[in-house]
Amino acid sequence: MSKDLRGVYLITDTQIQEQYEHVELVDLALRAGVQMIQYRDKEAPAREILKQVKEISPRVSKTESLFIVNDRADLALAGGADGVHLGQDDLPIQAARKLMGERIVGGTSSNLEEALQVEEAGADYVALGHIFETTTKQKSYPPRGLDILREVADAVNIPLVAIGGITLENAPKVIEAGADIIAVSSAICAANSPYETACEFIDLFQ
Amino acid sequence: MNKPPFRYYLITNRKKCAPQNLTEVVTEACRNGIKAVQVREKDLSTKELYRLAVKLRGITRKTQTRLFINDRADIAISVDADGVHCREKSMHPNDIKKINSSLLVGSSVHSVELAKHAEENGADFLQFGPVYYTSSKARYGEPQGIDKLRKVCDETTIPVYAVGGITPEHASDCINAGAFGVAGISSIMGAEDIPEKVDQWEKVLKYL
Repeated sequence: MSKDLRGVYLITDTQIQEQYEHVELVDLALRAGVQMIQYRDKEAPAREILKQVKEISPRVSKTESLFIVNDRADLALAGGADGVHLGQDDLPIQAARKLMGERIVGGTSSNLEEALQVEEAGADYVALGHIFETTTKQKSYPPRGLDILREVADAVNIPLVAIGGITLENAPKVIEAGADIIAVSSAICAANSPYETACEFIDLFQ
Repeated sequence: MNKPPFRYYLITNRKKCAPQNLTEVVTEACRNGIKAVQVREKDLSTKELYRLAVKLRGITRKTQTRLFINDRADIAISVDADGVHCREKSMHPNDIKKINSSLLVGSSVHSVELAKHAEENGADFLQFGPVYYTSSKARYGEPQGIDKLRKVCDETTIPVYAVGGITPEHASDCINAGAFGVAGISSIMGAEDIPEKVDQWEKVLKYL
């Protein structure tokens, strides 16, 4: 995966809003031109997730964007996605790498030590979060803030994804602090117009 | 495909192992002849399940016991397990085989229709039940009974493992109804004397 990867990473979420299904959010995000899309649904059974991943994959393959599935490497592979994203409680990065081969394996971290471990384990990108307060996911630790983000950005050599509580207002500071990619869920999924908001996020990278 | 080379299919539940722990119970069961183990610990995180599966792979390999992972094909492949066991809402067996064609795939089913459906979708064997009353499935209502087991066996062509409250005493009723083997949790997980229990299963099933 290219080291100069930069842009917006949309995490589809159907818990915080009920207006759009995953696939509708994907269509809006692709039209806006987001760099990466992650399918995340912690509740749905595997068969249901795979059905949706199979529906989304061909749409994303027609574009320059990349499609990542949260947690389940098997569903990513069977559904034809470009990669898998792993949290600290998911499959180890090395194990996922064996399964995924050349496909993308990304990992979550919450501090410098974990970020370096994710890089060392062979991930294609590392996500750091949550940067700001967020309501999308229950958190057991305080927001990481821009200082830790800067510290991690200086230390890692793979693309760095900033995640958690990122809005149009604070995103410029996040990019300035060294994030290559900003991951956004509620700010786009629950926006009045997910398409227009996605465009505005993308413009921040111009 | 050929019949799976095992007739007793041990399903794990680490909460039923006390006073021993799960790895001790599986080790003892395998040493005494159990030939297939399905790891089914639904409340563990992916990482915890992966670590447990690595341990159980090490144990089962020593006795050439087949290891299956419930629902998670990614963990099964990562730990070099022999197969995956599907729930009714897991990936279809054919989707799993697309990722790795050498995996054996079993499917839990609770009706004749779903049994046929699982066979059509590539399952190598079925697990049907609960045949008898069992506390772990009591919330799903009445047991399915021997007649429904017979119907599932008659209307599918792949091996069927009967599950749910089956003891060595009435295992022969399931076999006579057409089941190829028996699957179970409590009988061995909760046994006071595992070697003796395994021995009882071997006698009634002819081989494990």
